[in-house]
Amino acid sequence: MRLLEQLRQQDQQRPLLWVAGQPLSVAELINQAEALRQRWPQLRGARVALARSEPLQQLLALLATDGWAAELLLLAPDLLAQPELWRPHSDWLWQDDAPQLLAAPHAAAAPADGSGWILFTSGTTGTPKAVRYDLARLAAAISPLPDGKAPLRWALMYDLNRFAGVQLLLQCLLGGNQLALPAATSFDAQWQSARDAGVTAISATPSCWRRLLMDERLNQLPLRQLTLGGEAADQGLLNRLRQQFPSARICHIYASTEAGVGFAVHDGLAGFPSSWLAGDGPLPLRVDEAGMLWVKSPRAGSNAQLAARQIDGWLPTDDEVVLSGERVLFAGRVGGVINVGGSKIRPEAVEAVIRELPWVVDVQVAGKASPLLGQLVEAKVLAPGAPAEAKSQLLAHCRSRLPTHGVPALVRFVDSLALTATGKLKRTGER
Amino acid sequence: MTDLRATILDTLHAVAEQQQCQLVDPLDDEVVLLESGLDSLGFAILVAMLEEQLEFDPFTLSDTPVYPRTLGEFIACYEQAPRP
Repeated sequence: MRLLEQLRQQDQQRPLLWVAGQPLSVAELINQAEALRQRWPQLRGARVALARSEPLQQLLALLATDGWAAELLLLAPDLLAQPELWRPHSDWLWQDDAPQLLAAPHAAAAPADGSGWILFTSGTTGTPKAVRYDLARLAAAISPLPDGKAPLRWALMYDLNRFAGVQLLLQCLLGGNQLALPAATSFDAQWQSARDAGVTAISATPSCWRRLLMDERLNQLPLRQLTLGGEAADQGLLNRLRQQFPSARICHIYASTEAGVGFAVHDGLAGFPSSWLAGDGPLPLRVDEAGMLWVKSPRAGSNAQLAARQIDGWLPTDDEVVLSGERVLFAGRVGGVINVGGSKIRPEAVEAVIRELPWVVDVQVAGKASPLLGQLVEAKVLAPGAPAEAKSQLLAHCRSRLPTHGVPALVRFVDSLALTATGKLKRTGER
Repeated sequence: MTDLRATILDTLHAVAEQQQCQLVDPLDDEVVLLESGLDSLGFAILVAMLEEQLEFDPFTLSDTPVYPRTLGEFIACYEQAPRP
């Protein structure tokens, strides 16, 4: 499957993108991507890391390289600083106007069956992981717009380089909908672009929705579809959105980069019906003795580590669930992974960084429930000989070594830390 | 100024310092929260710190939570919240 071929079969005049409030048609997009291919024929058959910071430029680079380069890597700007992650997969880096050659070029051949797409998972250990997909599998859940149905105009509130952003992009490129592309990947730019385009649909994390609800301009958008994903959607937020948009379609999605696409829940209730565990749902689901959810997904991405974790086609999600009446509710991550507004981090990764400070005796990191962001990172620090400026030193050190969401939001200096009978740190913030 | 209001404003400044955010001046009741200088992580931290000090959190007490738009509305959430 190749994106440009798919686009050529569509109505060439239909508006596909909205950039700064102006429409861009399918034909215009194809022309610009073709021009890039002609300008950079060297990319044919190569492995190209795409890291353009402006979403429109990144999308054009993507369209130019898909079906043309052997492999393309979608590189969020924050990953650029970690070349050990992407250099092994890349011959070229396309960051500025001109792509840069990194290594001796391969024998150039266009891929016979479409390009490989490499996406990075959010990296709960602090280290993102590369997962390889092909386009057909990424697009498997996307169905074309039914005849006579008006297309949705989506806001892009996710990073185009992450799984959720890619799904939404394909929904618009292949599913007949439209996408408002922001000038940059920041909340302010995304929200501005959504308002400029007058979007009719928004897909965002529950934390992002809470932030949007704090802005009265949300009321002025004629929203027909509201989608929540990336974190568990709580009942209070679902109720609040229903109250504000009584006739819109509201759904929350369960998905992970590893499992490919998951499933959507449309009944306005948190979690999903327990009958889905008995085979009544959109895909096979089961819960093990420890309360962890497993999925069987034909669309799973592939990497060696993941293949090793599969058992008879079942994939562990690392999400813990609890049964509550007729519903299965999400209870948190196995192993205490902390989910801060959709960005996940392992407590051990934060603890390791804090322990690097010479005056820290020990530290315990856990998730603290937050009504606004789901969870926050809380650190309890044992440091009897800590200097006066201990807290600011600790925060500065974490800022230099961890992603923003991994920097402790709450720091408490304590006299002792709770240990288990075997002398291990107790993982109390687990939910 | 009520004690509650003073606590909220003191904590707000402490969070801004911790998060290295520059708050707008003057910081009055009409200031829109998203334009106050504190980002959404900062607000989540503010609510968590206030919960520790006040031992309640008005945003999780209700079935249909309210999302305040201005600083005045934010403070009112605390002043009018039913205490557990």
